[in-house]
Amino acid sequence: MQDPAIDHAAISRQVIEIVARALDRSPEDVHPSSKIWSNLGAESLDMLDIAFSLESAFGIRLPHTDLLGRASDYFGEENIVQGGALSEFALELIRRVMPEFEQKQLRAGLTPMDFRRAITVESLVQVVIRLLEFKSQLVCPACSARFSDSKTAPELECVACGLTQAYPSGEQALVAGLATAARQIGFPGPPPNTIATSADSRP
Amino acid sequence: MSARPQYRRVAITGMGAMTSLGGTIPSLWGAILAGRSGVSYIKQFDSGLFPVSIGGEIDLEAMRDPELDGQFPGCGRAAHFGSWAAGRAWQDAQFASGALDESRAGVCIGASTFPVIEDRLDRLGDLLDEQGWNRRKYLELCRSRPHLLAQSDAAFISTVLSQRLQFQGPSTTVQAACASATQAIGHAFHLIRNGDADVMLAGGTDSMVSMMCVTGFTLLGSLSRRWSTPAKASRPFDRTRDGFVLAEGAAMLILEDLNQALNRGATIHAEIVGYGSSCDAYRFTDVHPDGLGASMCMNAALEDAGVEPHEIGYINAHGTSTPLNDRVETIAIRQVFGRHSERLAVSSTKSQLGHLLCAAGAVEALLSVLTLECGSIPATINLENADPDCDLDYVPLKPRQADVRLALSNSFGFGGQNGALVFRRWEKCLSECIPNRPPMVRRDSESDEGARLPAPNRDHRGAAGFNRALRPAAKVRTRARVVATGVGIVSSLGLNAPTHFERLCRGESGIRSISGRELEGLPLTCEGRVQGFERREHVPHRMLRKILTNAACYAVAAAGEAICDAGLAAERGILERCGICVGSLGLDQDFNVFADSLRVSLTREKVFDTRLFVEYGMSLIDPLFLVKSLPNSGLCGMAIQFGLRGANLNIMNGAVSGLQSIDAAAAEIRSGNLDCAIAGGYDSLLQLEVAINHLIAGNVRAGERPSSGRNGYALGEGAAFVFLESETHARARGARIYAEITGGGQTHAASHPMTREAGAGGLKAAAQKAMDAAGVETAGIIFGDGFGAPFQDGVEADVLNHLRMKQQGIRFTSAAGALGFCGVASGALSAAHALLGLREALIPPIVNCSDSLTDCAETYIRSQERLPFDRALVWSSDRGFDHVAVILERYEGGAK
Repeated sequence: MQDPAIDHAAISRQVIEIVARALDRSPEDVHPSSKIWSNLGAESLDMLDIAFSLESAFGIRLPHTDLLGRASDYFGEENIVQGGALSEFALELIRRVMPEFEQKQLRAGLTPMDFRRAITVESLVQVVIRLLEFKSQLVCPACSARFSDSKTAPELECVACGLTQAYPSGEQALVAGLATAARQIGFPGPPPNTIATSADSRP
Repeated sequence: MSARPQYRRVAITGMGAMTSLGGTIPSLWGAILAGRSGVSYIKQFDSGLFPVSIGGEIDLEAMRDPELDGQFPGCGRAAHFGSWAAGRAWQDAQFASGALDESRAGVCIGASTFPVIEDRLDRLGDLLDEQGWNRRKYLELCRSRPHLLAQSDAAFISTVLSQRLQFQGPSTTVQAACASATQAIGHAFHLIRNGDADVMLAGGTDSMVSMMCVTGFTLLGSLSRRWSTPAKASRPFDRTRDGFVLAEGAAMLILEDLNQALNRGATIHAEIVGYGSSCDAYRFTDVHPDGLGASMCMNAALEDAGVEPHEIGYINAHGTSTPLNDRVETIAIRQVFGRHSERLAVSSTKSQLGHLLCAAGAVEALLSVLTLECGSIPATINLENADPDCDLDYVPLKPRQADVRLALSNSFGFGGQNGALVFRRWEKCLSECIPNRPPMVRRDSESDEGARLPAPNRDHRGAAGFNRALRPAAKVRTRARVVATGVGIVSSLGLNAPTHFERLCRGESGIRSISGRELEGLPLTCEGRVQGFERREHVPHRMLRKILTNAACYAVAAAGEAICDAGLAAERGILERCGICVGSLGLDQDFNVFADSLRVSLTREKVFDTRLFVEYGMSLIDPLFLVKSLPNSGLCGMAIQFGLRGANLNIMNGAVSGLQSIDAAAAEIRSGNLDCAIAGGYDSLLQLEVAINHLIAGNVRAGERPSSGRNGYALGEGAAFVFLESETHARARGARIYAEITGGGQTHAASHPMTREAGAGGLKAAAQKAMDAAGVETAGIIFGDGFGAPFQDGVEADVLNHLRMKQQGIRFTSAAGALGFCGVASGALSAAHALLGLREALIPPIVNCSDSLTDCAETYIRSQERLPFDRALVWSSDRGFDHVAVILERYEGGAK
């Protein structure tokens, strides 16, 4: 399979097709700037459906927690949401992690719900691209060669030694992106991580 | 019937439970008051590898019932839990020998059905090939391990419980997702109050802590994943809540006519005084954001109980610990209780037990009763971070002593089905000072001349909700006559009732050679498949088209036709308070959904490997599969499509469910609880596991040309729905009336193993109950099953011979020859045929009739008969165990 990470237009077309099919619309009605919830009328079940289709189509794994939930885990809920609205720190995180997000919307008073409702098709395209890039940077732990998508199973296969491994979890990519952004913003100290996840606490 | 008062009070005289916090009432209640959590790491599969690894799990080996294993091999965890709880409840009720009339005792429980993959894992290497599930090999496996299919049998557990207690009254499984047990208890309560039973075992049992269930809920994103220790994960109303925690277990109550309980000197734990149900008619997995359905069902329960909101002292909340539910439930409680919500104690015991899904309402009902009995309110543990959106008194962290007289328990299910129950503390002195409900008055037609449509019970959109003026002081209950005013059918003979009935009467058959992929490879040659059904045309709602199965789409289409036929397509007000009563198939699952996922989870040696499943397999499963296989999706689909929000009941009780739903809806209209309802059933037997079940039972026509005689039935599919209303309601709006439903009856034949004699006894008793209820001596034309399977035909022939003694020239017809066995839809189709036949003076013939099993050949109708008839007896049986009969009569205006 040709590495699609570079072909923004092709990815965009494919994402639009997937969104259109999931929402039972014609692809002509779906544009990169369409807001998936408020313009296209998606429900939470549609988002699961869309995520599932994106994963199968691009050989990626999307994160299971959304950006704000994961940011709350890592930086403390009080640093992300203040008085029901997103904090300046959260807005800055979004600017850096999701540069495609319409910048003029990222102003004081934006609530987590407003943020979710403003997600566009282009955001999905960018998520796909970021995950494809993350995947393409992985190297084989055995021989340091690059991976490509296996032709026989939904997994990665080392182009040199044939070692296979699962697609990287979207969680990894999300956390890496958040950590980089926090460093750039200058978030003080290690993440407080007030609420552990099940994976962290399992004995 | 006349000896029994029509409205009776109902006592709770026995309780039993099996939960992660104990298998006896003292151990459970002690743990609840100690604020303990039953949530821990799941042990029944290698949960440590999974994204979600916790649940409220029970150590099954500690309480496995060897007697149950011996009598009913193949029982799953839920059956064991249910049997345990039922046994304890029955002991607790302390019936002296001979003190119970078993013919007036029934079972009504909430239970789930779920495709069980776990037991097949050791054979996956064999079963999966490139095309998916290898059907022939799967059939071989099930033949060698017949118990594999027992767990997919939705009605199995209630049957087991009826058999063990020897109850011969209705045996029913209710499926309303997470509201199942609450609706089951509510339905059982109404059965006793209406005089249709004296004693009911009611409750719920569920076990969905298995690998595939945890996977399903994980993929939906419903489960809590962010917590420090398992015991802290379920934190209803806490700001940091992020999902629910799965749990398993059972709770059972013995409900009993209060007078009978007093007469036999029973210990009374509490009274059950009110039940209300509603539909959100909004979305499948999101509750209505304004809490519309939730407040409707609480209001309905309060009205049913005849109590004012301020009298309620405690609410056992649904409180799942999901962000949306807890916020919306809070809104709904504020709407219903107004200023009283400031003084009201609300707690969620799911904080301690997790979510028992179809059993949740039962264990929460039991804890509500204990609250009344013991004067202590259970805490909401883990409520440590206040949420500005959840601002009621949730009894945080520690239980509280309180003198509570009335308690309400809420349950809201996936799909949008809701239920609420009201319980009253038992005080001896109250047995005299609280009057019985107003006596029912038989309403004669003469007095209805010019009657207006009854006003809706309540304007649930009232701004503050709590408005005394909207609550009638004392609703006078009238015993209504029930009429049918609309019919809708989707079948292999047509996509609407007129086409279907015309072809059926012409003697045409809908049976064709096998064409679908689902059954390829099985030794079947013919099927009764619905042809030419276009989802886009029949199911306008986008999300419904996406997630409903074919069978559920047929249900929406047939219900839509019945509503239009009744002239109500544009009557939003009537539809909004219209009841819904649906018989649904148990398992509706395309097993190939799992094929890709399971295939990549096999090692090179073709052995299933959990690590591979978690790493590779899980993400190949459609995350909506759990929603798509919801057994109540037909009911919720029609609620969403047509904006139906009234009282509802989804019966998942095997083949009788369709007709049982019509009988149940008629009973609720007759007793004044509903003005109108859509009722019927839908099914598709063209599914792998279902087909295998019928093949193994040896009843399916196999290896022959289609229509080559009645050596078993073809598998069919379809849906039939009727619109029912009170005569007053129908006449006030000038509706065209098909016929009147004058009586119904249901029995369970408590015989193990089942014999033809016992089956015939059960069917005979159901027919007699229906005729007694209708006050008639003879049955008229019989619209029965006539499946062409030796056992079932034998049972019917015996009952026909019995009835022939009283009624010369009794005639029988059935549609199975033309349509195949349509499962749950069969009985509903028969009822629809009787209605159409009564109106058009036409009786459809039996296609491919053979009379090898009876000595009364002239009984069978072999060619279309144009014959006015006044009465029909419709019956439906399931494998000899469950039997439902309904009497339909030509409608005559005026006094009856």
